[in-house]
Amino acid sequence: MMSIRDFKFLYATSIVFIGLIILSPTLAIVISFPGGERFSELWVLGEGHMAEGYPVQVKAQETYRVYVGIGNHMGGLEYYRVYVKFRNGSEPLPDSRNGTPSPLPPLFEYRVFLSDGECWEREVVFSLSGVFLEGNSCRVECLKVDGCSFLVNKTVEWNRESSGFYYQFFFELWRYNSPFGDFQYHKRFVDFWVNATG
Amino acid sequence: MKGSVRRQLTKMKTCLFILCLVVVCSFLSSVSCVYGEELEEQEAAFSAIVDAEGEVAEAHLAVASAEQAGGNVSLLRIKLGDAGGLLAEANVAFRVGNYDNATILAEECTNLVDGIFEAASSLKLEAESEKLSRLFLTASYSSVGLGLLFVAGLFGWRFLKRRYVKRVLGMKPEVIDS
Repeated sequence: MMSIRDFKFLYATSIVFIGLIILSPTLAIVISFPGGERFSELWVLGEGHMAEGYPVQVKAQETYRVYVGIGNHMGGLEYYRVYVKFRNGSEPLPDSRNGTPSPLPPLFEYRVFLSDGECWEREVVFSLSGVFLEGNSCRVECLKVDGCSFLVNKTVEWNRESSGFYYQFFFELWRYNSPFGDFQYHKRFVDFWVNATG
Repeated sequence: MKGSVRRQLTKMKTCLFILCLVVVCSFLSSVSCVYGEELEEQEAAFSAIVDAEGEVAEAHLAVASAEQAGGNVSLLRIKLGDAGGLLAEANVAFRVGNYDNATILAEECTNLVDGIFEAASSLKLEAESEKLSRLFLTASYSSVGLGLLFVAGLFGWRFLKRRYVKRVLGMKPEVIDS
């Protein structure tokens, strides 16, 4: 049979356990437990909202669409900015190693407020105009994104490997950093290539 | 005769020169005026955008802290989203040189954001006071529960101890006279 000392210990332990159960609603209000990993998502999808069917062969004056989206898992309300940039193959991309954005000026932008766990997706309609094929090079004069025209004047050389004049669209994710008081590049970008076919 | 023709020619030349000078001057002044106007428009748009950026950032912080406090900020978030959209459009308009439109959009954004900070602050206060009263109520229930548990624990311990002792005594070997 159990000794009186062991019995006393068992009794005290069960009382403490019941006490904790009684206290748990109060503790739940006072103590906040750390959440999981905090991160943001950024994606670009082709037509049909799938990671396929991206517009590759792009003709001048024709409109194409992709879908750009953001997911917030940062644990609170976030203020995001998405920059739409356009480059030829030789211009710099964001530096993934150093986490710095591309120095290219943005053309279009979106600003989004998302609570924790929320997602946002938006259709991006674009078209190229003033596409000049001059021998071994191609020049795109104008780019239209969501109805806004931008003079880009970008020239690209014929890509022998991929057989085309390839330009790249990319979307950079920026997040408002409250202590810093400004937007900071959130070290995420997504992209897709288009072949300007004149 | 020749002298008068020459004098007239010189006069005409002077008049022509003055006319040219006037034309050039007016052209230059109109160019500088247009350029100055554009510069003014650009400055106005820039300052409107900077103002709107500050207002939106301030509103965002207020709404975020109200949300963190547990306030229902869904309506404010919709407003913030709309303001963000306008601000993005203003920036795009500025980039393409449409300064008038940029100014209008930035001002619209500032107007839309106006009042969000106050609303979010009052929501935060409301949420905090609600949280405090909920905490007080829960803590009171918990205190009563703990008190009852303590008293019941003491009585229970006495009861269990008595039963334990009784059982132990019941197990005591009896002495039988031989």
